[in-house]
Amino acid sequence: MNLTALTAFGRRYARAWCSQDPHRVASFFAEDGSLAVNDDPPAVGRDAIAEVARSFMTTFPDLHLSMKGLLREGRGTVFHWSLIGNNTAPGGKGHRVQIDGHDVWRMTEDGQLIAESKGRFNASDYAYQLEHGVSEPPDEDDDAPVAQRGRPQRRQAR
Amino acid sequence: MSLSALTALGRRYARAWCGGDPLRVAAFFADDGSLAVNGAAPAVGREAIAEVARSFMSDLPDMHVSMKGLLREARGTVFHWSLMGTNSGPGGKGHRVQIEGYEVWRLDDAGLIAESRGHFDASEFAFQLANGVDAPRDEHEDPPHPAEARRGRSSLAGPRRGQRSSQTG
Repeated sequence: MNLTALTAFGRRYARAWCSQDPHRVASFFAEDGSLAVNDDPPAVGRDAIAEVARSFMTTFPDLHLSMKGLLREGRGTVFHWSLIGNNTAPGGKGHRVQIDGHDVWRMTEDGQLIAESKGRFNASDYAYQLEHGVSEPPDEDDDAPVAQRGRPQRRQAR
Repeated sequence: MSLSALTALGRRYARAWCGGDPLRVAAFFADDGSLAVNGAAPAVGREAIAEVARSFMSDLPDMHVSMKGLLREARGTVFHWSLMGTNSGPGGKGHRVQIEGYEVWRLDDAGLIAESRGHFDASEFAFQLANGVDAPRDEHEDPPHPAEARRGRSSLAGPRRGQRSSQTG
């Protein structure tokens, strides 16, 4: 897949994470594809992958994942994302979480699906935010990419 | 600009660097745009930017720049590139160079680059110009992972045993 097609794929994948439909996320993976998050053992197969997606979607009923971009590196296609959501699930503390991470993808032979994804984000920062929220208040500027809301001082000049 | 449009822009920009025409690179910049390389004083304006492009194109007549990808970050749009070429220009030693870097762009309303701050490993680049990308570095280092060595990163590019090198030092 060329960079243009990969970018379109990444955008659709990010939208799937926003859909509250975990099977939509799983459909981007090969049937025997795998998804590993940080050092957890990988979820293998679409059902298991959907369960991983479901757990995030449950934690954040308003989960929004935006794509920061992607890079083709020697280790694979690296999809960079930014997640924002409120932990308003039952048992959640209601705090707002905003975290960046990346997934290293190995695509299937035909290049159409993800065969393996190894995701990384700062787990301790994530745990802190679930407990205490992000330190900055949200910014209501809808022009900014969602990931950048609440960080107006770092917005790109236009 | 959407990520897709930015990606298309990046691909065209990379192709412009490959074409041997420095004015094509400069055309991606605003009239008063600037291009700074590794923190040096920026080239300001298209003519000055074309001179920067011309110097790379002159050193590396077969220069090929490919786009690794692009990220929208808080500091700007970050265009990641990979450069390959042979230093067969005037005074060059004929060595092959392969290096990676990135540019942090600020775009204007017209989609032109108002400001680009480029970064790459200048000491690695200088080493490769003098010795070639495949030249041994430090005999005491462990061999790097081949995928890393190909990327020519100084911290990772140790000796590649069994490969040709133009210099043994």
